[in-house]
Amino acid sequence: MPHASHRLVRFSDDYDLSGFDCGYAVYNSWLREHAASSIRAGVCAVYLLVEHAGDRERVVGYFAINPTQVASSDMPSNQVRGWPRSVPAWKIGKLAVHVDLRTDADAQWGRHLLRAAIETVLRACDVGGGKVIIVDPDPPALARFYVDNGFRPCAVHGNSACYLKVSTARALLG
Amino acid sequence: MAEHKARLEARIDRDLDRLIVEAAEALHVSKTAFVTEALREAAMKVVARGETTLMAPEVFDAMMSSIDEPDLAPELADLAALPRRIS
Repeated sequence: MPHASHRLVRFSDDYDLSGFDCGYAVYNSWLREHAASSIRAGVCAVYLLVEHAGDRERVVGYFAINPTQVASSDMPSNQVRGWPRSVPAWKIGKLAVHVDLRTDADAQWGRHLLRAAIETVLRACDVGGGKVIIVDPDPPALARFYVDNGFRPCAVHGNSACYLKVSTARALLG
Repeated sequence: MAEHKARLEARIDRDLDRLIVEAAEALHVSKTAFVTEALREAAMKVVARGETTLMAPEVFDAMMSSIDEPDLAPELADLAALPRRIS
């Protein structure tokens, strides 16, 4: 196999998504069937990890980011959306790597893509603000992956969401 | 196993119906496909606007008390130290 290079690009319909397989059907189908409409709706931005090897090009990973907010779970519902008892945030969602790349555990492609996602959010913060980065692992067992890479649990019962302060991310990755 | 489908009926005026048909034809999709996609996008916008991630009160307060001060995060430092493989 020729030497492969990898780059991060904004989602485009020009890429063939039919061969993408991360091992989770819901992630595969979301990319193929719903990513484009989510972008059109202004709900999120989607980034693709594209592999180039010789004249071959394929999508081997992706993630989505969208603005959100974080609030304390003890707040009355009528205050949940009000400053200063909530804080603007960005959510990294649907981070997924093709099964082919996961066969080489030493390559740590999941971690490489996570770093790229955090750096993408930091650039978004530069123009759109935001104090916190959120991940909401699905399945919940994936929370371990994020904790092992510097995220902290939001510690709400029945919810596996984790957070990373933007100030922390910027100190190390900005 | 066949996917269960829900049914949606709506009374709309004839002008809107003609507009939908014209738009669906322009995109070479069925009227059902056009309406379904338009509704999906509109619903996603509403849901996304209302999305809030909840955090345990003690975690939220601790985070907010030092929101602009970096935490010690050796795991994130390890992530930052990875050699670059994505351009």
